[in-house]
Amino acid sequence: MTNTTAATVVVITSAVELSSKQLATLKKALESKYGKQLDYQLVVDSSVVGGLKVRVGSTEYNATLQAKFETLRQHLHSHI
Amino acid sequence: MDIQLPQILFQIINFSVVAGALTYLLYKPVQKIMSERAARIEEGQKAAEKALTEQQQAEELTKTSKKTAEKEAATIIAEAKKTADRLSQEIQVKTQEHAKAQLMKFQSDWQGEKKKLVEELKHQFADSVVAAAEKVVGNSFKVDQKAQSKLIDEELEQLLKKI
Repeated sequence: MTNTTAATVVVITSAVELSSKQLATLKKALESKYGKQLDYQLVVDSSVVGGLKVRVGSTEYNATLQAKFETLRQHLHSHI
Repeated sequence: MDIQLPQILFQIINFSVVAGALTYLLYKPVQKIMSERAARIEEGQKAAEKALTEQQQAEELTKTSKKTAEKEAATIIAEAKKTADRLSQEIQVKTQEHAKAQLMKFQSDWQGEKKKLVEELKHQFADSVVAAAEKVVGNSFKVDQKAQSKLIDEELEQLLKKI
């Protein structure tokens, strides 16, 4: 658990709005790791295609299809 | 016929006087003239022989000089031809080497360009494939919101393991 005095900004980006259940599950996991002083910003961006990405301060968890396609593109560049 | 001794003596003396006078006055000058003439002729002959010898020597010298000049000219021509052949061969070899180097450089450049072009095409192909897939998948998820939500669930599950 990380103790912070100021609220840490958490940016959650997804192609569509997260359901309340999905958001609650995510918040629970984040607060468990980073504490309750988190300031959430929800962003809907269709360019991520699918999935979601979460940035906590300078740390980013990217589980979007956009990232997977980028990985695929880099893989193809280096292997074909 | 009587032999008159005084008459004979007179004739002998007379003949001797005439012979002496002729010898002194005619024979000796003529002999001198003849000797001088013979000397001049001999001198002329010697001069002629000398001139002939000199002419022969000059002709011989001319022949020798001509032969020497011809020989030198032939040597010079042969050397010039040899030098020209050598230079021609050198130029030919250099030209061939240059052409070969140019060809190799061209082939190398061409191979490089070809490789680069193939790489670019591969990358473009990969980009196109990924872009097309991204578009198709994106459109699919836009239409099927349930699938999108399910995908988020799955990705969220994976993401939670990393947090």
